[in-house]
Amino acid sequence: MSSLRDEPTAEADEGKSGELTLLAMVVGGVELALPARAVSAVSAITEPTPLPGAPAHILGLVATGDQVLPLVDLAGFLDLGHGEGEENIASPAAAPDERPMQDVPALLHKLSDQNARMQDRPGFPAIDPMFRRALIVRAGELEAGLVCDRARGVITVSQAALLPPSVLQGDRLRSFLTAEVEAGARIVGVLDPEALLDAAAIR
Amino acid sequence: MTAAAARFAVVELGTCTVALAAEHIAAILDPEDVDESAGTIIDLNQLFGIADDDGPARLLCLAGAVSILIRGRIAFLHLDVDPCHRPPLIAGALRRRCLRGIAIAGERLIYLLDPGALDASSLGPPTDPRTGSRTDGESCCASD
Repeated sequence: MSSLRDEPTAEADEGKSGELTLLAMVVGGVELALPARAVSAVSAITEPTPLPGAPAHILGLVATGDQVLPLVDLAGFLDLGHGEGEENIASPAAAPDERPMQDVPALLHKLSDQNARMQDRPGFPAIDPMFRRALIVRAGELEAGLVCDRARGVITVSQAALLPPSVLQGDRLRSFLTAEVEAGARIVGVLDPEALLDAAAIR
Repeated sequence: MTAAAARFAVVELGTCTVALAAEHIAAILDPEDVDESAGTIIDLNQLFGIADDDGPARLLCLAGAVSILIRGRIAFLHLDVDPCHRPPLIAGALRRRCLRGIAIAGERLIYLLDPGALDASSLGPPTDPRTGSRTDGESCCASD
């Protein structure tokens, strides 16, 4: 997997003027962001090797450089984009079930279909599978590639602009949101990378 | 091949490649010829949740009291498995499948079986080598 990799630093995240640097992305039609300090790279996605006995949100493993990285289906994990127009009004997620490994290509195909449907819906940005990216996120000892529909890029916001989550819906999504912020005409949900990876981990 | 390369028995399981260090293999038997000395038999397809059971069955008898039932072709290859990757995020999945970790071999990822984890005491009931079925349908290593 080709990627640009930087060592995350707290300084990259919080400037001296109280600004917060975020990496914005689209997941299941929802605008989300992660603190830039947690993202070491943004990478194109290659076909993952299935992981035996993995829960549905683990798409498989990929080699990136000299590392082996689990890929997490962020839309599925956050209960986004798997319904018909109810992507961000999700019910609480049950513990992910194990699925046969043969289902991985089908899941990737489903993600493509889902993206194709999103393009036809008013109010949602056009999403093409070719824009899908993995944000390589580290929190403590945990590291994974979080698969998003599109990586929008870096945005810098004032700490004062961070608001308590109120617009974005979905119990599953809400449990990982630390804040919402207005970025242009968009409301962007800020995710907690530590909580996200901790919940995605297979203990 | 590097100085760190060792010989492995390599099996394709569906879309996965699984390897076991050849030094742990005491014998390779036809399941029809098995007696009690084979010890507990672990069906690799069941362990990995693979339904495909094409190919001839072989039994890899390990030095301990465990044998591994394998369907399909077994290739013996020299692999450099250093470093052996064990991403913390998926450590539980590796442990439950008795995997030591993952090696990068060219463009392939190879799952490395851990003979120590294939301990008879941590396994369910044995597999009938002739039918490949378990008595209770479960197949897993320790699921701590």
